[in-house]
Amino acid sequence: MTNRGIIHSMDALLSLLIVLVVVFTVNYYVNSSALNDSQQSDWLKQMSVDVGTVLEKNGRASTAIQNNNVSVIRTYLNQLPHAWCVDVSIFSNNDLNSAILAVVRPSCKTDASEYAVTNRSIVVTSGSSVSFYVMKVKAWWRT
Amino acid sequence: MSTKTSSLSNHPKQSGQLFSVDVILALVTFLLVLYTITSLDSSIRQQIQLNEKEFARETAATNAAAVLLETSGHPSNWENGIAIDSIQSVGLVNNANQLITSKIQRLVDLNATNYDELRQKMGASRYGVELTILNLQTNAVLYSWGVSPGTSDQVSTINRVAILNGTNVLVRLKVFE
Repeated sequence: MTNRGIIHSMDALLSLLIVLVVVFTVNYYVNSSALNDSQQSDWLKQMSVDVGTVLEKNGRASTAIQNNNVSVIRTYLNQLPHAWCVDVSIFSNNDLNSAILAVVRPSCKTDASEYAVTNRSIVVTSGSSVSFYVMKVKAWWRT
Repeated sequence: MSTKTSSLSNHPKQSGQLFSVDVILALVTFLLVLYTITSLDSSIRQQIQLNEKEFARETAATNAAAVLLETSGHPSNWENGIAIDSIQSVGLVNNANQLITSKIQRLVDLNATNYDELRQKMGASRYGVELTILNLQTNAVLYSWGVSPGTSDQVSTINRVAILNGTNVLVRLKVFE
């Protein structure tokens, strides 16, 4: 009779433990920022697309390629909101392995756990010749 | 059989006490679990509601910013004296991220009289909206539209970069409730 009672108590304790673990796990995940994380990720992608679009349309990407100098891009990156970190690399269309130009926003650490990358085509005309390039824009939040 | 009956009838209290301890233990356990779940339930519900509200507001802000910076509006020449009732959506560009001054100016002109209709056409009718366009280099405010959020309002802020007449600008959209 005594042994049977102990076995029943162990069952009760086990089930109690399971119930409490489930309840506190639900509470933890509800309080965590899972929803915010998905929004942050979307904003990161948007940031990357926006920076690429603006660099192409304001002519800074073309200027950097023509001058073989990234200072115009770096100047722009320094004007972005403080929390934004961006790495811009430009590749010739026939060699996508080694960038011909690359610039990271100064004071940004490059060890972010989450980042977004977009690629844009850049067309540079010089006289009658036309050259094609690919601009890779990698964006992440400053930590 | 007869021995067992005799044994039980000789010790009725002992058997009853064991049963009572079991019941009390089960009852205490049940009440403990019930209390824990009940006390956590309200905070979980509240947190879910807050998360849903925040998510909905941020989604509205993201979508409104996309409408403004990635579309020309409908009709696309809505800035050319089109009656407010005939405007279905407002966009500030003809090409993505390239702002058109005349569209911004029309938006600003309609602020005083048609703020409610315009935020509805941005897809944010449930919220207050403030749009600010700043010079990216100097942080000077170039255009401002809408209503500023109060100190107790919950605000979702979207920052997007764009070009306005060759100037790099920051488009800041605040959606609040």
